[in-house]
Amino acid sequence: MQKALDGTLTEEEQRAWHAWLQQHPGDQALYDEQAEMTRLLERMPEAEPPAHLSVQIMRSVRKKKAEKHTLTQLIFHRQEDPMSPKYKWLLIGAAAVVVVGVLISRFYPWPPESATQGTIGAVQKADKYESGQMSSQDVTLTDSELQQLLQNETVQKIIADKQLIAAVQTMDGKAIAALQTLDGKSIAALQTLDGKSIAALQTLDGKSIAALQTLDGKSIAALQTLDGKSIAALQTLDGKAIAALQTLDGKSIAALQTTDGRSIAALQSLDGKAIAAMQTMDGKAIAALQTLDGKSIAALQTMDGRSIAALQTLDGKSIAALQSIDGKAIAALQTLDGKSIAALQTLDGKAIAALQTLDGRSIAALQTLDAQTIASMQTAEGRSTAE
Amino acid sequence: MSERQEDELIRRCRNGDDQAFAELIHCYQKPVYNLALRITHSGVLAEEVTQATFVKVFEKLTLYTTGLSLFSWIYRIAMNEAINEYRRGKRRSSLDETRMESAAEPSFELAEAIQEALMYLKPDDRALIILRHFQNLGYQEIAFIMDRSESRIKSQLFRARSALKLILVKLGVKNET
Repeated sequence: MQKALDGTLTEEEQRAWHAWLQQHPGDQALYDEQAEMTRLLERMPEAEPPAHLSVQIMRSVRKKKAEKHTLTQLIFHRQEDPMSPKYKWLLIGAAAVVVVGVLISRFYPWPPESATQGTIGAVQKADKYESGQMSSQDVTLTDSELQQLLQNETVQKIIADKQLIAAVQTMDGKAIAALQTLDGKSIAALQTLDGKSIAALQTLDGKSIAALQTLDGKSIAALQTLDGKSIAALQTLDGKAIAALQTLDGKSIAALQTTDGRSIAALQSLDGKAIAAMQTMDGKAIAALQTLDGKSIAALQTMDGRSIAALQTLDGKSIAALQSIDGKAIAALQTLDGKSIAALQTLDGKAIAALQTLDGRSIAALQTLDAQTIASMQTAEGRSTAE
Repeated sequence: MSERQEDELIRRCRNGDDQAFAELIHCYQKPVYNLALRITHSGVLAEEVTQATFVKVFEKLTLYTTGLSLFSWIYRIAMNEAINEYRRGKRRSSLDETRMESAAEPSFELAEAIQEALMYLKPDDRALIILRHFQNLGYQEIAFIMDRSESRIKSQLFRARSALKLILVKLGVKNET
């Protein structure tokens, strides 16, 4: 109909169209209505724009151009002597902004050594890394505390030993930045009480700790090495995301968990056994790779889509399977004890192809249920059958 | 205007040549003004939309990529400007019976009646009818301007014409074709 209305039908199409309309009065009425509207609309006269319009537009464009030029000059073409006082103040201002930004941190309660967990098993939910929240008692220094600290015997000893202390503290602004070296051990801490952020780096007896915590934003990033064991953790309580990497006694755990999004990615090696798992509970997808005692399992499962792909090797026996329950297709290859099975089945299409060798006997079959054809070749105990 | 001439005109405009921009306005202001006039049904608003369209063309000309039709690109800006202008407080009251009855006078000129009926359509449908039937643009070009598929444009156009017919009947416009 659209082509007829547009007048783009070929002669043959036109004949067919008219024949169709004669047999279908409903379509004829619809076509007449559309054709009438098309004719009406195409008769509408065009209006002439007012004579002053182009002049008016050019005036606006020139004005815009002038504004643009002025702005560009202001930003890019203003020459400033790099050594002028104004320029120096600009740099000082920028530096001050950086310093203030850096001073938005505060001290951190060390992440627990063993509380960061990955997943065990292919798709087990990782436990959330938990750290104690800092209380105001932990972080607020009073004047007397500061005085005590400064008068502390150890501090005095450090000063006498000419070891380095750099400390900047603003109690009103509640910002504390400190760099301290005690007997070869170094502590760097940056703390902002109001902003509730903490960045800390500490090395004690060869053990290092780096932590960044924002209490309001509820995110924690921590890297800790104690006795050769390292822990890296990133946690956002609001966003409920946890990423953790932990190596304890050569065993490593990497875990990423989003509690809201319900996805879990985990990689774990315990005693040479590796587990990689990714799970999305909402999307219901599970991908897992697991090696336990030399046996490997790779699996991808989508519960909604109902497809399962799996590759498994257990004791030299291999299984490969692809299954779509909705699509009703199953492909499988399996070798158990030297016996091999290959199968492809489409339930909707009703086609089955199978090749099987059991104890030296081979079976090949192709079957189409709809078309009702069956081709098969079978050799059992030296006998062959072809149908 | 040939593609080569168009490219040259764009190049000159980008280089800040006022004369070139004046030429561009001369080429396209009439269809832009008509589009705006049909969508807003107001000469004053149509002037404002036309002006705003060309100021935007001037500002965004560096973003225009050759290969697209300059006309379609300008039209796209104009259509959005016109629809926005229409929606910005200049929205006409929706089809109400009082207005319909009072409008149902036989003295209506056909062109006026069609323009009046157009104003009762949704701005999108109105723009579609204008682009197709007043400006005689192809479906591909309309699809680009309205950022929709050609098939959707065709079916929407079909429905828009039927709706327009119904409105014309309600306005008391007799079949004069």
